[in-house]
Amino acid sequence: MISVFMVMRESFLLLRRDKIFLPAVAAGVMITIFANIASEWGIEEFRKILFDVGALGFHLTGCLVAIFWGTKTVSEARADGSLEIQLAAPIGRVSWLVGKYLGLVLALIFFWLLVLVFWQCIMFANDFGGMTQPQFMFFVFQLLEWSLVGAVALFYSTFAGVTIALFATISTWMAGLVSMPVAQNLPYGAKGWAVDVVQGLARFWDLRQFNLSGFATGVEKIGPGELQVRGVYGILLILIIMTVSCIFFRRRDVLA
Amino acid sequence: MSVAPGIKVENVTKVVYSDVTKGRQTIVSDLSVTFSPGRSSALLGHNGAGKTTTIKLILGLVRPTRGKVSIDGQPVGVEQRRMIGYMPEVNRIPLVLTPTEVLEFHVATYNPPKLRDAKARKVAIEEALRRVELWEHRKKRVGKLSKGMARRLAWAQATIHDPSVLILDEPMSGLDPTGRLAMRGWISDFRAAGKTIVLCSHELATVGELCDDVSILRKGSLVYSSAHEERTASGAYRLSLSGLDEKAVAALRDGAGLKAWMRGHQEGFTAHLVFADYASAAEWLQAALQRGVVVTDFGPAPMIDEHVLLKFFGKELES
Repeated sequence: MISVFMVMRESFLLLRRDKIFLPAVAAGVMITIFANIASEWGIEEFRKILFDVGALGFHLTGCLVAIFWGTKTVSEARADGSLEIQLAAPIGRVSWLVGKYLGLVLALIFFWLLVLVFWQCIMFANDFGGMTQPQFMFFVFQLLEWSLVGAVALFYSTFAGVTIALFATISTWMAGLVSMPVAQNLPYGAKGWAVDVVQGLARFWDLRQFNLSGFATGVEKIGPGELQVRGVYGILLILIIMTVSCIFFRRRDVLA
Repeated sequence: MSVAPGIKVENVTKVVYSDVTKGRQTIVSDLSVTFSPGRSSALLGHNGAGKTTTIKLILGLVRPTRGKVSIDGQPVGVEQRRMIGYMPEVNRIPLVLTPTEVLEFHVATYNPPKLRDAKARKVAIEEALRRVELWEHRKKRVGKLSKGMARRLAWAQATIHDPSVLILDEPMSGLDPTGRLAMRGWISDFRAAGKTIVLCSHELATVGELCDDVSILRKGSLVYSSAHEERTASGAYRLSLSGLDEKAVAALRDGAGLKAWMRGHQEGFTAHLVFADYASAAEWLQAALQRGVVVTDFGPAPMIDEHVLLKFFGKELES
């Protein structure tokens, strides 16, 4: 446990001091400001515009940061050789990878909190008051998606270099965003097995489950049970991806 | 003084899949080498001979395709790695951390019994940083340190937990003369404390000074292994001659006690001979002087020299 904690702390420190941290926070803040301006330009439904535009920016910024950090965490450790030193120490490989992931999640939470505070300030500035529970849940699910995308990046990084891991993670992330719309819009003539495969994949990998912007603005009704199912779905996906990552990583030689 | 653990590499072969063009490559082939407890051993070889892979096999970073590696009689695992201090060839320290953070992380990971108390850890970190003259720079990020400073930090990192086995890959690289001198002193202290040391270096003077044993790898296989005593305690002598003609070379080729020799270029032949004892070396010296051959070097043989090394590297030596 000590080694997991130490790796987590080190991973958090490295990401916190990473070059993209401040630009990412600045991007998050700028997008919120832009969303605020856009909502003021709108004739009605200020809140919906703020959430629609802001949520897209929040989602994109957070997921991209998670992808970059997830890739950096392992691939860069391999490239700069710190992986070699750390795995030569009495740390099990699974502990190392889990520690790295927890450090990544911690850094994402820190980033999330900074942007969230600014978001709340914008809401106060517009007399929207404090965040409602659905609005807060929207942000919580965004964080869950970032953590999931970060796990995917970590998974690819366990067996690929930075470039390949980045490309593969971005592709997988995009696939998760479009999987369900594709599955729901298959042509009538599509073969039965093809429909089954596409719909099966879409049910397994559907990142739209974490988009609660409709729920946050009151357009969509989601019950507590459904929220729980979506939350468990996200956590299960993270667990599955991390388990597979650990299996891959245990068997890898550190040759670089 | 407790006996430091020994390291045994037994019939180890490591095959890796490099890429589509190179395919599968055997990096280490049926390698058996022992690093005796409490002794300082050099691991030599040309670039790509398999030295670093051997070190990584010992550290458990690379798994053998065949064979086994053991430390203190046990297969390499987390507990075995706890005994090891490792200093890689190039600095492998994250550039955004400070020296203090690097050592804090390292000590906490190794968690040695003597340093379980927070105060003791703090003291040990301060002592280690002062020893390598980095205390003044403890708050600077590693990326801002010079190469030599980062190298000294790597030494502090490798030794702060007082390991009983020290694995050093080119420890002198990137150090200025003062740094090299200090590094030699630190390694000597570890050697004097009876720790097991494995040293990879291309600097033969360093190897001669700091190592008891020498193992030479060539294309992933062990081609030479010797204890220091075999070469020096027996009184081996070295004689270097130049300006030799073909006839002299032929005579030398059949000479008794001849260990190694090599050919020169335009100015006739140059020979570097190693004799088992002083008497045979002196006899050859006398004969050489009588024949008017230029003697360029005569004296006790170092544990290993370039010419011997070249022979095992399979380069420019006549058979």
